[in-house]
Amino acid sequence: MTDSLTTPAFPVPQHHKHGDAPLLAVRDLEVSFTTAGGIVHAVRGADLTIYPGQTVAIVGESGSGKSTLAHAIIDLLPGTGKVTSGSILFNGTEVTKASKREIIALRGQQIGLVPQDPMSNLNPVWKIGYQVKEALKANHVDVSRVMRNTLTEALITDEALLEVGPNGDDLYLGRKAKKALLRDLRTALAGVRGVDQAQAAVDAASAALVVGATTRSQVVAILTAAGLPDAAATVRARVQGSDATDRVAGLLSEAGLVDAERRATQYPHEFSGGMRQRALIAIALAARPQLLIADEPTSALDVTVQRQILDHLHGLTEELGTAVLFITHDLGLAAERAEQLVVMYRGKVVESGPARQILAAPRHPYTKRLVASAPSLASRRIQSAKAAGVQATELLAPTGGDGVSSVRAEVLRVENLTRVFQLRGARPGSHTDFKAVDDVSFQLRAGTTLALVGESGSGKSTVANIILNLLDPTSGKVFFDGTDMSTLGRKDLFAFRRRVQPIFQNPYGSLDPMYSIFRTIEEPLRTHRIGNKASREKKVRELLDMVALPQATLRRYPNELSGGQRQRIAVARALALEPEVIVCDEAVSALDVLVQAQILTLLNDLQAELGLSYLFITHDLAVVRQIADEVCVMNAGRIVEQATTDEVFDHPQQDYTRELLEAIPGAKLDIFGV
Amino acid sequence: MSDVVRPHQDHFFAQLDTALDAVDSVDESAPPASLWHDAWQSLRTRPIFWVSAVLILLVIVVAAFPRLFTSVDPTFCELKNSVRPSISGHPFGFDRQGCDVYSRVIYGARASVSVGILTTLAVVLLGGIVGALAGFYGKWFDSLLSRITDIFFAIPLVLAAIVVMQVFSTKRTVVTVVLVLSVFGWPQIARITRGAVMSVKNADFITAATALGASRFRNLVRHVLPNAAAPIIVTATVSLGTFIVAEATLSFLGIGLPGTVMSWGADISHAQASIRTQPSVLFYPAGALALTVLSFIMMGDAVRDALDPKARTR
Repeated sequence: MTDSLTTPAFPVPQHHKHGDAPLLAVRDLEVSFTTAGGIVHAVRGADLTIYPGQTVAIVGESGSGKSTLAHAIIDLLPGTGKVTSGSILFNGTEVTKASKREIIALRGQQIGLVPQDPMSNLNPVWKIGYQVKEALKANHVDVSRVMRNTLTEALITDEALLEVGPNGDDLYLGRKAKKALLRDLRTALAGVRGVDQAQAAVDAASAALVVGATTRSQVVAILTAAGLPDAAATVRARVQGSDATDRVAGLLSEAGLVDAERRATQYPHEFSGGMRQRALIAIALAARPQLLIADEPTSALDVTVQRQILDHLHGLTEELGTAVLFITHDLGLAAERAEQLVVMYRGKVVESGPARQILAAPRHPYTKRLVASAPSLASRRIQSAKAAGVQATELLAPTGGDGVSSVRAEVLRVENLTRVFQLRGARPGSHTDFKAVDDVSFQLRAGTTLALVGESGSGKSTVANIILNLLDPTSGKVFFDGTDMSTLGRKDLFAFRRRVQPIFQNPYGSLDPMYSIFRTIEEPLRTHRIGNKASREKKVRELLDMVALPQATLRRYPNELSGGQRQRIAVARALALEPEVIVCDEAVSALDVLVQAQILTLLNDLQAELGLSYLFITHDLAVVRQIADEVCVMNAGRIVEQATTDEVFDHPQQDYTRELLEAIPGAKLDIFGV
Repeated sequence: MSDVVRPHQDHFFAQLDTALDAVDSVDESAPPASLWHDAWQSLRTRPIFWVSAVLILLVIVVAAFPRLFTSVDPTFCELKNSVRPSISGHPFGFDRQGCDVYSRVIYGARASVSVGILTTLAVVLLGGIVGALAGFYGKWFDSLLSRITDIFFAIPLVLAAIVVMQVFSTKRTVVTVVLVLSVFGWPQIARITRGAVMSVKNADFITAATALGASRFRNLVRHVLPNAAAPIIVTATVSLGTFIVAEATLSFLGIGLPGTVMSWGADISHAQASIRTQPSVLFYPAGALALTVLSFIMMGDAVRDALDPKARTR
């Protein structure tokens, strides 16, 4: 990688429409943080090149330095972070040497940022519209001034300037103008086509005309199509630009928010996660930057919402010609959305290049492993292999025993389970009922894995909690080994706890930080008064071996361990009482891809070894394919589809299931030969 | 999407120089760490901790063994020595009654320190139990206990103590002072404990322990309280200083410890009369009081910083 671009002394000419010069060139970048434990090199010698209009993705696990690299580009390094060497050349500006003022000019106007967590990145005390308007103001996009200038210009030259292209035109449709135009359209058409037809045409035009987003030339096109005679003249008279409020609504509509004018007057807490992320996209694109940095923009959202938002973002940036730097941990997602991939590992770029080339022929061992274990890709690979006539099971992680068989005894059965929560109403004392789980029935056979799949709010975790007896069902029954759980007394319930054990999602929260690893794993034995001190210690050591952790871990505390190790400890704790059923509530969702694969393999091995049954609760269908024998798809508290894993993946019966399957990142990739 | 590769965007891969097995590993040679271990590591690098620790230790030794520091009897007073400045053997001079000020400051430490420590212990016990039960069991039980806490919180500590101490006017001892201060001093700790317990009780590891079969009470004692201890310790350390001040205030007003028990508060009160002629008589007990309270508050600050890295001021 040697080129004249490595010497920042040579300025790159600005404003390339069709790039032969990079928009962003990061060369040999080093970023380090000063911590109590010394200097940490977060980014080491990273190179990154983005051409105008291009989408580039940085892929890496947590701590790989991908976000740090992105934040260095807009000089937003947190705390003690500093660029120690290397260069960041954006559009001719050397960011590492730029003054505070230059950086501020750069942010928002030339480089937009869509942050990771939509929940915490909007100010809860300001209305959404105000926050978008703020983005316009901060970047000196004075909407009304633009309007005034254009008007003045039009007066002087006495021409309508209607030939301006969609993105060059700053004159957007205002809300008053829209009303007037629709009125004109109605009167013009009512006489010619009759009232009903005119109403239909007006409704269609009303939907097509977006306040603050539709430019004059587009307005003319829409109205001509609707049948308005001499549309250009009418538009010239009526459309005189939009004010800031119109433009805010327009930006929000562009980001895919329905009913944007009203939405702009709402507060962030009235928005769902997906809607907030759309608002953040509107803010990031408000000043029409040339580069958009999207830092895990959808990792906090459900897969179907993720897909919608990414599709929309892609369409929007393509239309505006914005380059996108996409940061993600999901290789499948990155490969699907970006032309170029940059794979980071431990602060280094280990592999970069065209996305397809990397997926088809990864060269670095880390990338190879990543390609092999990414659940979305694995799922896709199985599908391709099947189409090619290869037995899918060969590609899966080894499953316990012989897969599904109806002869296996049932160990857990759930019948017509319903759970109603009371939500507090507006008035004191009033409440509304919310059915979190609605008439759910399924059975789990010994030695198999049943996956309960659904998006957030589908009630899957509530089912898990009822089965674990942490929550009482409103109605319905849970049978364990043929016994109705609701008939159990305190003592029997205590004994039951031994036979069903949980593994929770967050390995950082599910271990008591004050307990050493030994005490953590020993606790269930101690609670159930099993064995004496010596035998318990022996058992704990066995369990550590079982989950493949070194004995030295015993004296450590959870905060010293990595996420994957903590989840192994949680598995060991769950196994301590030799249970028959393990309820895994999103047990691998918080882990990095490679670690996720390791834990899934561990769970599979343990199932084969100990004949365990798993109830696997997850939102990630890609993971389901790797581990489950049977799948129940949940939506809004109900089970909408229930079948074997192959059946669900190959012949989904319900639209909702199909939607979920299509939303798995990488579904559109065609590198595996289908 | 074109397949034309532009400069700097060809397929590049780095040489492997990091062992990939290191993906999910931890330095096993490092010494085992825990919250308390980390806190100690951070604490021992702070000068403020060492200064306050030395001062507190000194005060406690003085309170326990006053004879090590002076051989003069603080109750031996001669009016002929009234408000005399320092002379050999009597470095702080004499008060209005002709008693040795240095010796009285030394002997006064015992009352102040014992009231401070005993009240703090009682308050942590009482407030801790109320706060923990309210925070952990919640619902109506929490409402009840919290309202009771609020009622006591609304009563100013010293004002209430003045009123109640009138009742004990005949049998005022260290124990009665501790009792009165504890009865009106616990709400702060109760509130802190309640908040800390509530923030811990919904943690995943509590749910995990419940699913293992641990009872609610076991959860509270074994999991919740140890995790909620840090803020309680910090508040207790700081409030120890305020209780010493409260005792001094009561003694100053003449309703704290009886005249037979030497205390800094009583001495400050007596020094009022001679403040114009010999201000040093006031200065020494007041200085001792200020230094003691300061060192406990400094210790509280240092411990808080060590236990809660987020609160550290840059």
